Amino acid sequence: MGEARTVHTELPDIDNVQVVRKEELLERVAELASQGFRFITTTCVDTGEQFEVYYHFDHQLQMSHLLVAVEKDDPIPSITPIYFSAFVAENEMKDLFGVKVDGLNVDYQGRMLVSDELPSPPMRKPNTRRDGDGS
Amino acid sequence: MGVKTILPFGPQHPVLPEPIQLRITLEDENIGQVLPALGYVHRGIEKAGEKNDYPLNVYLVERVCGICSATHGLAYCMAVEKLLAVEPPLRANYLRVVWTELHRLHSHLLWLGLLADAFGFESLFMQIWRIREMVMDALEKTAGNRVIISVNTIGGVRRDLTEEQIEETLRTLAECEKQLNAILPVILEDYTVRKRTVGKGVLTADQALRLGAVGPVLRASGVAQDLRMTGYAAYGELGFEPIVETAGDCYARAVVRARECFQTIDLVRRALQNLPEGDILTKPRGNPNGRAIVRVEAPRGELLYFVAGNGTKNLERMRVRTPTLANVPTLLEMLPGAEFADVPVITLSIDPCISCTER
Amino acid sequence: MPKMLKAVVGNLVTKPATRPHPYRRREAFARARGRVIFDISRCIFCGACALRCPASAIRVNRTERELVFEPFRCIICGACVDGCRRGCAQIIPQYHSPAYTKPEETYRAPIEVKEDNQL
Repeated sequence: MGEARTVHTELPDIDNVQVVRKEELLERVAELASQGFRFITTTCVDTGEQFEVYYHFDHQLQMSHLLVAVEKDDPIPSITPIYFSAFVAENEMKDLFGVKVDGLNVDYQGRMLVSDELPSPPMRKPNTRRDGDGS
Repeated sequence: MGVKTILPFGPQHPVLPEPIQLRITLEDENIGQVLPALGYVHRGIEKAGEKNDYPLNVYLVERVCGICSATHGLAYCMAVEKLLAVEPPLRANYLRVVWTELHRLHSHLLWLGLLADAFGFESLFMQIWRIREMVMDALEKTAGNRVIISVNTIGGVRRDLTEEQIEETLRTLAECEKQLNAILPVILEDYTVRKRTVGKGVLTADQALRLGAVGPVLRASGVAQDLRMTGYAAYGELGFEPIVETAGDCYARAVVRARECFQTIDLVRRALQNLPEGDILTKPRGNPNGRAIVRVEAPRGELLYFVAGNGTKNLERMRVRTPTLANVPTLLEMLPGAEFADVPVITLSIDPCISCTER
Repeated sequence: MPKMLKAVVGNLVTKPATRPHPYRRREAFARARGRVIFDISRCIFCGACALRCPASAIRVNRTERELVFEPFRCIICGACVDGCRRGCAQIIPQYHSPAYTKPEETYRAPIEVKEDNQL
C-alpha cells in the first residue's frame, strides 16, 4: 500500500527523483525548504491504478523532485503549511483528478478551475486495479 | 477602525483585461485580505493533449497562450524531442531563438503599453503599441502569422529565413531600438509614472523565492534566475546574462522588462548575424515513451512542460505549468496593506496571463 | 519646452501613422499564411491532409472522390500543406474575408480523372 513504483528505468526519465512515502512527505519537503529550494509545482499522473504525484523544486536552476504514489481514495497531506504558494497547484490536482488533499490553507472545494455543474473530475481515469476478488 | 467591505475586482474590469477575480477585503482604502477566484476560461487543454496525436499537440499548445505561443511550442517540442532522442539541427536552434525572442519583445512591449494604460496614459500606450506593430509585422513577414506563428515542430522548425528577410528583420530591429530609446525615458523617468510605481508592491528576494515567483518578478527582486542561463536551444552559444534589479517594486519590474527589450533585440541580432548554414529539420521517428521535463523562459517567466508518453501516438500525460500560475500567490502578499488605487498597477506588474494560467 | 516644440513640428509635417483602412488596404506579405486553398486537379484523395489537420477542418472521402474543407474551422497552420505530396493543398497570403455564415467548401474530382479510371 502506498509503495511507489520506479518502473521507468531504461526509458528516458526525469533525473533526480526521490521516491517518498506520503507519511514522510512533509518532513522531506520541510528539509528542502530549509535548504532554500523554490517550489515550482506539482504534477499528478493517473496511472489507472493509483496517482503518482510529483513535487518539483528548484535551486539555482537545478531541479529536484519528490514522487509520492497514493491510492486513489487515500488523502495526501498538503504542503501549504511549508510552501504557501502550493495551494494553486494542489487545488488544481483536486479539481482535475479528484486527489484528496488534507489541510489546504485555501480550499476551493475542487471548484477552482471547473464549474459546479461538472459531475466528476475530468482527468481522472477509471480505476484499473483489480481488487482481491476480481470485482 | 474603518468599515470592512468586500469588493470584487474583476473579472470584467476596465484596467485589467484578464478574466480573474480578486475578492478584496477593504478597510476604508486599505486592503486587508485578497482571495483570487480563477476558472473563467478553463479550456481543458491538458486533457485535449492526451486525446490528440502527439505531433498535432504542437498546434494545440501554441494556443495555451496567445502572447507567448512560440515559447509554448518550443517547450513542448523540446520535451518530445527528449523522449524521441532527436537533436534538432544547429540552424533550427538559432531560428528558434530568433522567433522566441521576437515573441518576448512584442510581449514586453504589450505589457509596457498596458502599464501606461493602467495609469490612464493613453497616448504613451498607443506609441508603445505602434512600436510593437513593427515587431508583429516582422513576425508576419518571416513566420507567416502575427501571433500564433506555428514555426516549431518536433525536430526543428518549419520555415527557413532567406538572406533578404534577415536583412529586413535587422533593419526593423534597428528602427525599433531607435524608437524605443526615444520613448522609454518617458515611461521610466516620468514623475507621474514614478509616483505610481516606486515603492508599490514590494517583494523582497526572500519572499519572492518562498512564494515561488518566476521571471521578471523574481529578477526585479534581485534574484538572478533566468532559464536561458541553462543554455537550451542556442542560448548557450549566444551567451546570456540575466537582467537583475534589486528594488523589488513595480518600478523595478517595469525596468527589468524595459531592459529586457533591448537585450532581446541584441540577442535576435546576434542570432541572425551568426546564423549557421544547414538543415532546419531532423525527422523524428517512433512514438514517445518515458517521461521528460523541460523548462524554458517564457516572457512572463519559467514555463514547465511535463510530458509522459507510453509508446503510442497519444501521450499519457501533458502537464503545463505556466508562469502566471506561479506568480498569482505573490499577489496575496503584495496586495495586503496597499491602497485600493494601487491594485491595478500591482496586479499588472506580475504581467498576468489568465488564459495561460487556466489552460 | 524646446523638446516639445520639436515633437509638435515633427507631428505637423509627418504623415499619420495609421492607414485609412477600407479605402487603402495593406498589401499581404508574401510569406503570410492567409488561407488554405486546394488545387483539386492534383488531388489523389489520399487523406494525408485530413490526418494531419489539428482542427479536423478537412474531410476526405476516397470512394466518392470528394474533399470537404471548412475554412472557418481551419487554423491556417499549414500542416496539410507540409503533408501534401502532390501540391494540392496550398497557402495563399490573402486572408479569408469575414462572413455571416460558415459555409463548407466541397471539392470534387474533375470529370476527366473519372474517365481515366473507367478506361
